[in-house]
Amino acid sequence: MLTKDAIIEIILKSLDEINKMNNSKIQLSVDTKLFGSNSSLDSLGFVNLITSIEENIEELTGNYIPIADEKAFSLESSPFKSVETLATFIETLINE
Amino acid sequence: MNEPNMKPVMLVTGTSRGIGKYLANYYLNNGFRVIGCSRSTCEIVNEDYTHVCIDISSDAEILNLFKMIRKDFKRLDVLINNAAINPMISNVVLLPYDTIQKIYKINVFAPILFSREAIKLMGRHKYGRIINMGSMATKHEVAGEALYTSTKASINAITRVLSKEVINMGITVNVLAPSVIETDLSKAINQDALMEVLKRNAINQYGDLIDISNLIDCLIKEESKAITGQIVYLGGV
Repeated sequence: MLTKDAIIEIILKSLDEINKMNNSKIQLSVDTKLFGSNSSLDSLGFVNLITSIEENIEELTGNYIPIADEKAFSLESSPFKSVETLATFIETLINE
Repeated sequence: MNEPNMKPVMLVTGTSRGIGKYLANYYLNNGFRVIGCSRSTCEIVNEDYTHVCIDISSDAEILNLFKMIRKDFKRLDVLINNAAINPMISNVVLLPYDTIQKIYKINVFAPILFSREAIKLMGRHKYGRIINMGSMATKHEVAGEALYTSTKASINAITRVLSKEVINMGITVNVLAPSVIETDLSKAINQDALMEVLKRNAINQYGDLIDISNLIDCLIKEESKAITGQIVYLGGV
């Protein structure tokens, strides 16, 4: 069981890993845009972010939860917009 | 591709027999660590070979396989989506819904899932090679083969689009479409119909397994970074 705050921490930790890996300076904030035209991440960065989040959650909980879930595509608003929206979405997935 | 002294890791689906078994043995003899999977057990014995019995029509079993790869291997350099099934030749009007679902799960859904999970591992190292097995059926469009042909046409389309999505991650994706190779899969097909189709190729006889590994050798080379989104037919199709 992970709280939303803990999930935000995981996402920010993953973004920090990507910054270190790519020598980039993506802002570590809940408002950081993750996907779409205003995003600081390219496609490689986005895939690495998702992979890193999945691995960090697996490490903490022992469960592998693929973020590419059916619900991500059925929601009216994309859960990948920002750190905040992604954390809310992952919390839903974990607590199912 | 690799850290010094570390053997590259290859995942091949459908290694209990036919082309998959040949490729597993071939790449074990060529310095790879090979992870193979199939529904049944596999007789390959090699310290660099890991076999996992799974049903690739189950997404949960595919995810478990990748969980093992992340934990035990921590990387993946090459994925060969080889496993496929071909139902008895059957006209569309005779196709049961369950059969359509089953064939699509194994021939299309599984390669997509394997690719999705492989890309996550490959992306970390900004390097990867994905080979999808295609078929000359997509060129010949033989009556009675609609289901199998449509799954392989899907693989061609997925390959071409996916290649554009992952090229900046250092990953290439290609289709290798063999001519007829003598395997359990080809034996299940009406032999007269098969020979009739082979007559349409420049080379109208069965292909050899070495033709397949020869092309894969080329596609997975580090230097082949510009060869992606291609559908390569063997046998002069």
